[in-house]
Amino acid sequence: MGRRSKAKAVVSASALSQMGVCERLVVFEYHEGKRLTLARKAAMQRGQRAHRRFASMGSVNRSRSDHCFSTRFASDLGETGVPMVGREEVLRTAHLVRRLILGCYRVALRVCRSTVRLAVLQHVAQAGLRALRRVAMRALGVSEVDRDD
Amino acid sequence: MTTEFWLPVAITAASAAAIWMIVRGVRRRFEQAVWRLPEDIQRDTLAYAEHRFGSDTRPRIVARVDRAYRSRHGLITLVELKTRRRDRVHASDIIQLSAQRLALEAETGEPVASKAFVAVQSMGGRSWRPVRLMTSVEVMALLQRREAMIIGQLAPRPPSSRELCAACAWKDRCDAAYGR
Repeated sequence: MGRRSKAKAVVSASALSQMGVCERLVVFEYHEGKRLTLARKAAMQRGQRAHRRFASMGSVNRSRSDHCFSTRFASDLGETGVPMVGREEVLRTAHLVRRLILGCYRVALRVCRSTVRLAVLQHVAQAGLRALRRVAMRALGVSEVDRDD
Repeated sequence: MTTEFWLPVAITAASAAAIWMIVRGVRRRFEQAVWRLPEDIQRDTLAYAEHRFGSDTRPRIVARVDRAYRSRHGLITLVELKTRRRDRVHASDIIQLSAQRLALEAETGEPVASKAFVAVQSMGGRSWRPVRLMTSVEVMALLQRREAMIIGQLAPRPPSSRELCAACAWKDRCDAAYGR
């Protein structure tokens, strides 16, 4: 009883949207709960996966904190989301590149330590990484304005 | 001109071509892997992602917004992701986005654009479909119709397409209750 009255007091946008599918379905689901076919369950799982991915892409514009030194080094503003997404979505799909990234992580710290006193080298590296970031941002459709969010 | 001259030139040209092809390939994969925003909201900032809002209506409408972008003028544009076999927008998408608009406006007081986008991920790829949203009066009328159906004051209508019935888990019950 309590469950019914609670359900009546609150309607989700997705439940209301079912009115556009079939009104009879709305009535059945309200009184007897959801009943899913196997195909529907599979479709829902596919949708949830796509949503997770979509949400992670959304965080591109907001992400400011992560642990990638190289990408942080490339930007004064701390914009690291775009290169991170590029790495996750594109580069990691290839086996060879995955190994390359792993190798890069292994030597990166040592290289950074040895070059930390060479300011010129840092500027050169930063310029190169900034150019790469611009290409990635253009490909992602993220504008410079987004970074101020 | 000797080989000593041409060999470095050829190597440089080959290297440049190889780099260009790699960059082009990576860029293409970038474009395939990510969602490029439509022109209308490309310059907007992401305001909300996977955020829940609630209206002040009775019954209360709660909505989880996939994404909402804020323009420089403060206007919010809603985006809803759908995965489907075919690249198309349904009436249910418009209802869902309209309910989201009502809830977001009520909770934040921010103006929401009457134009929204459905990001459709289908077999054919990804596309952004612009949709025109319902007014708050229309959403409330729909909500009241739903309430009336649930308490039995109104008879629910069958779906516009009979194709939906074939895949419906309630088909047997529906046929028994409403015939056909």
